[in-house]
Amino acid sequence: MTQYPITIDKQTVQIGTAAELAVALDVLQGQYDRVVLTQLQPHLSQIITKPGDLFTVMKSLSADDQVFLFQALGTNLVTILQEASRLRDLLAALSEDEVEITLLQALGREGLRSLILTAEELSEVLEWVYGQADELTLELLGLEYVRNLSRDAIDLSAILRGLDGEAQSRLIDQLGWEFCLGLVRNGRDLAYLLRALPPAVSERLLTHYGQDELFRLIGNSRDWAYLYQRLEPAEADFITHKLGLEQTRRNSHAA
Amino acid sequence: MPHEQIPTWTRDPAVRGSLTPLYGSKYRLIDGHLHVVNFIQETPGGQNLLEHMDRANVGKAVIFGLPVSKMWTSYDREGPDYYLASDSPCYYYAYTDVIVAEMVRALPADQQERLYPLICGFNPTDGYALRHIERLYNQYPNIWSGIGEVLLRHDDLTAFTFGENARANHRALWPVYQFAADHDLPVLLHQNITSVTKSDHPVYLWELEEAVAEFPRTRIVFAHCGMSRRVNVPFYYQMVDRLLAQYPNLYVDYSWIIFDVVICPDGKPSADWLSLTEKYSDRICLGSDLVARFERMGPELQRYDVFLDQLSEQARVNLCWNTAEKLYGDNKGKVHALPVLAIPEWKVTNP
Repeated sequence: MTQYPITIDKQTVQIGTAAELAVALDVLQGQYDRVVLTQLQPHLSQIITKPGDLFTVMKSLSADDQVFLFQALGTNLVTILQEASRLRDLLAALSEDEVEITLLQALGREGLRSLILTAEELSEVLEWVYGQADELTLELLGLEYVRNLSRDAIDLSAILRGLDGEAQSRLIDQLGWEFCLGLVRNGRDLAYLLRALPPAVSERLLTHYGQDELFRLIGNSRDWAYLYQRLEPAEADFITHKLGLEQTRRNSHAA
Repeated sequence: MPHEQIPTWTRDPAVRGSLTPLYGSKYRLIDGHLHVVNFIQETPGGQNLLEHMDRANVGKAVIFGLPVSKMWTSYDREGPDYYLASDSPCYYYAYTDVIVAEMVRALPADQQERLYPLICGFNPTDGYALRHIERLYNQYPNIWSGIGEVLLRHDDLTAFTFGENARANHRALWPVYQFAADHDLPVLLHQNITSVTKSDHPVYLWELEEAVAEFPRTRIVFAHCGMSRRVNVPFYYQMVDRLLAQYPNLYVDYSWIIFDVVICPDGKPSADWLSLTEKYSDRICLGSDLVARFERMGPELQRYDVFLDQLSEQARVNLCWNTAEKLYGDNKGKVHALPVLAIPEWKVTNP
């Protein structure tokens, strides 16, 4: 194992692993984090080589130094993280928007694309980023890439689940209603999609369907029951009305 | 067993940062309590261990695995790496002893001598526990220096572990204690003195005392003096003092949070504990209680210096070296080389 020296107050120790780096940062009580990182900067990607290494070092650093570390590692972050689930775990452990944004920028379009290969993976990443970082993730991946990940309504609903209401509307608009509606092949697809959306966006979705289209899509009483039971009351009322079905009340079957 | 947030790892901006702790205690010592695998039974390996022992001024180490392994259940999205990392259970993992034995065997002979490995990978509530120990002694006759750390009462870990609750006076351990007595081997036990919410008196201490009293020829080492996180009682010093006075076969190790909580709170050595340590220094050893993270050995052991500085030379040497050497040294190969303790033949001379 290759080791690299750090020198503080004329004392020198050799650092070969992320664990050794983390304990050195700890005994220095956080007073020399940037100095140590700067001394090791050319070798950081040899010291931090796998996801666990990154977590170990990250835990010892302040937000500013986390930003410095991500910038120093740059595109090596892709090799270190290895897969989307580790990016998800890392994002879950970060609490500052600025740090998340730096991480995403350091990964870049190619990096993110090489980590995120499925809609489920994108959904889990989006789960842990908020606001600007949400937007940045989608922007970096690119609309066409997100379209390709959305092979069916279940995929799309998974992606939408990770976004707030505003971002959901925006993404649907960007993907285009035609694309989104094209993914809905039956009542279950519709149920998945409606469940992922807040009532206001669901209503927008449903306005694209005529009554006949909805009857054809849902197809039978079993799929209708499946769909109905999974909708929020406002959505259920809306679609019931749209289908021209009689509203039932919770205790109506008692009669 | 330490929590992942060992107090010495907590940063204190008021303390001047320095690389010095990485070099360990200024007193060369035996680390009397060191897990070489983590809760998912992974180890950085023997070479890594020795490199960090050298860096941390540690001459020898008493090493063992972990008798339980943390499950990665279907509900754990991330694999848990510590017993408290998720709600998933732990289960007894006998292979831990093989990991330790093979790790030691892979080292050069002169380096093997620096390690005192113990057997721990058995279920302490299983009447067949001794069979496991015998099997390991047959498979690796010249490796082992004793038995431990046997995990008994251990707050959350007890709750997480499948099966009956382990305790020091469980009858499944009686043959184990007898085996240790027969072959003059030490047994290192983790037995919390009380439960998490019973802080007014030590509800589980009697279990330990029953075992220690029942097997006066068995050298029992009481890990961390029975303390765990959130486990504490009043009169701790008096209790340990009484135990050491009452049971000559009882030893203790100062490791993990006992040091920070009662022996040296806020970095200031307690006068009572200094006095107790002087009195019983030949029955006390020191340990890091690290769980595989060998790079932490230096800072972990260096924190004892403030206490060691205030001991007499003799007490300090006992704590740092002699007690552990007396307990664990010269035990390898003993089980097969020494005859079982011979009981004088019963002969009625004046019928």
